[in-house]
Amino acid sequence: MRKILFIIITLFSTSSFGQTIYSCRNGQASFYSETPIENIDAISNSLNAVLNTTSGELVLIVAYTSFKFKNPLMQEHFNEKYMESDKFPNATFKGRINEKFFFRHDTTFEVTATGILNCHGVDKERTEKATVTLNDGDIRMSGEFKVALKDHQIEVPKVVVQNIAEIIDVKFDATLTPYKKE
Amino acid sequence: MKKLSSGALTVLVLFPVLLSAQEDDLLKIASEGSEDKKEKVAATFKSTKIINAQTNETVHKRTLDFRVAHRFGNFGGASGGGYQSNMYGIYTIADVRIAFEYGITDRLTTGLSNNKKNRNLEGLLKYRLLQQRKDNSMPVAVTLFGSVVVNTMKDLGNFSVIEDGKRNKKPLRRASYVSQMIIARKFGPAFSCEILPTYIHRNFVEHHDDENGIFALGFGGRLKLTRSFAIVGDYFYTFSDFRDDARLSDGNRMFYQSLGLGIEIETGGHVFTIMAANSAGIVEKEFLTDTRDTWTRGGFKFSFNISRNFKL
Repeated sequence: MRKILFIIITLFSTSSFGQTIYSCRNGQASFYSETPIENIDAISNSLNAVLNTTSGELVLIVAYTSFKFKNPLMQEHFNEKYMESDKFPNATFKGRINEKFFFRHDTTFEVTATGILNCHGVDKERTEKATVTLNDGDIRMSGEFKVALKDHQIEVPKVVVQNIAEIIDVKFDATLTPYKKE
Repeated sequence: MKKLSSGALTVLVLFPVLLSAQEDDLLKIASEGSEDKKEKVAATFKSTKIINAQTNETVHKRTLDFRVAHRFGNFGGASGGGYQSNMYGIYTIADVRIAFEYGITDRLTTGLSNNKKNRNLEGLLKYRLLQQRKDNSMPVAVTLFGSVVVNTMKDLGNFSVIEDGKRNKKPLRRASYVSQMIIARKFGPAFSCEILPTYIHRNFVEHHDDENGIFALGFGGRLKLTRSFAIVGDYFYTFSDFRDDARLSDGNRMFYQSLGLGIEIETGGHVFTIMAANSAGIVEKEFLTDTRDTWTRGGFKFSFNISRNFKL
């Protein structure tokens, strides 16, 4: 009897009742391509991030069409020719933070997250570092990682192959607040 | 005890379900509003012209579109082409257009062009009125186009026309005006088409039976085959009794409707269109009212359009 009660209490405390979901609708995502010929960068302020602090599950989504370029023609080509955003509208990361961190006392620390990065409809398993800052009940997550175009079958036409880097630097920065159902 | 254990069993059974539901929930929460359903449909066409027809596209803000277009001579022998006479028309140049089009805003484009045929000088304005939305709350894109073309050919005397045996020297007497509505729709990533109701007014017409004001209806389309390669075409039907009735001495029609078919190659920043068209002139006034060759007797011309965008 006691054993069963103990199990029930443990289960409840670790799962549904203990769970806390944090989310963000306006995170920043940006990328940068550097070649001797030209540098290309774009930024989106519509990164969606959701984190379950109990299980460590993390989902990041950003729509390709939300990236703004300095050159609008590049923006058109990015969507139409490279990311094919009609077919694959979003880049997503679905994974888990490996450390149990929420109850730590320091405010800034590093974590690692492991999961599947889906870009251009192609999955790739990744483990990447991120910096977490706890502030006033908000969780700020930021980090940068590299994406190789060939990992996600993003083809660059021969005529512009020297203008676009094979490995793109990606940065993200999102401040997550406790999730309220709308 | 028995009751409790069954309760515990329920929890145990539900637990994995709750967990798996969580991951989906997270994805669902994250997906909320990640895609803008009202988003504008971009890149209905790749350039501001298909072949002869304007498209609903305008030049992006603070971007200069430098355009060069060529219409060579007739390809076929019956209309004066062939290899011996002019290398399938390559050695005859029917029209050359050099144009600068500039995006004042993303919606408003202004442009100037110079054309070989009739030394036409053109000023144009284009305004993107409505944009197609992904959720079909606006199913079509509508752009308005207006242009003024002045014939600056000197062979009638500088800017003058001869009417009723009298020489008229007012330069605007040889001006013509085009008002056009471009209604376009992109049906998925590979296919776009458009309809262009057009009204053209020419101040001066050479024949007294010819109409000053003429309606025309244009159709254009683009079918994408690969990422950078597409088939394009456009056709204009000009509603003109004078053109329907006018006959040459051999009994053939004097005027035909304009049809162009070609391929479009897009590289980063350049759009090349290589096509065959039966119209000789490039500006609206010329191909709507003065297309004198027919496809069926070798009257089509090897032609190309090149567009290069410069971000200023």
